[in-house]
Amino acid sequence: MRFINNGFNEFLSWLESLRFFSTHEVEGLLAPLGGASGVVENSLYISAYEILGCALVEKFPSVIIKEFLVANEKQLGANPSQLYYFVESIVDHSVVRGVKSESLIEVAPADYKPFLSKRFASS
Amino acid sequence: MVCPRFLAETDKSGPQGSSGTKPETNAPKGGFGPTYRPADSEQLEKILTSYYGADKTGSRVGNGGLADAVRYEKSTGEFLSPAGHEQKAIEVSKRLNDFVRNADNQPPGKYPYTQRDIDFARELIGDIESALYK
Repeated sequence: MRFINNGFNEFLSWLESLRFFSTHEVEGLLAPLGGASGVVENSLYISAYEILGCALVEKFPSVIIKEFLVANEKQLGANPSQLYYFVESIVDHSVVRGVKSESLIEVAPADYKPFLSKRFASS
Repeated sequence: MVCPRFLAETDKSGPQGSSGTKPETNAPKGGFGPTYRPADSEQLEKILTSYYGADKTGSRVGNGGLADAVRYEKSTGEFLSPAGHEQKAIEVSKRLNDFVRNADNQPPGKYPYTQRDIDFARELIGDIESALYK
């Protein structure tokens, strides 16, 4: 069962509507946090967004990830206190896979760029 | 603006490391948290990814851990993310406490809850509490 809370469930629905993940996949990814309901119940939103960002990078090539960031800048910038960590996780896990951080930061939501640039200054 | 970072104490390989680990002027006060070490269990390793980042030894404030980011933000007033790292620290502390609580319900040393992992989780919980409340 999902609860309406802080736009988290809307974000999951949106992500599923883009066909990046099925509902079943999302539940599996969030299982360590007690599933989507556990995330809401325990207020583990940032952790959940980080896990989903990591999973996106693991599942799709960097060119798709970059297109996703370009196409969804407005949505990803809508809840900066939490969604920043989704975008940071995408950049973080992409860098580990050899992607240049600059190529992703340049298409990240504008408000995130100063933080991401500082975070990945030497990547 | 100069990035307020310096190499982790464990990284002595690069040119910066070989010249020492001297913090810059606006480094967090009150010392630094523990450096990253790999976990025995996948469960803890996932939490460490949130604590230290995917690269684990990336250049950030202090020793690269979440608590050091909180210390930096509290001491300088400068956020390192749009809303700062306090909420993230609270979440990660919850996850670490859950890990330790689950471990307490297992026979001693039973995989995946090694004593080494439990001790490190407790050390990180203390580090977060120190950063948040002291």
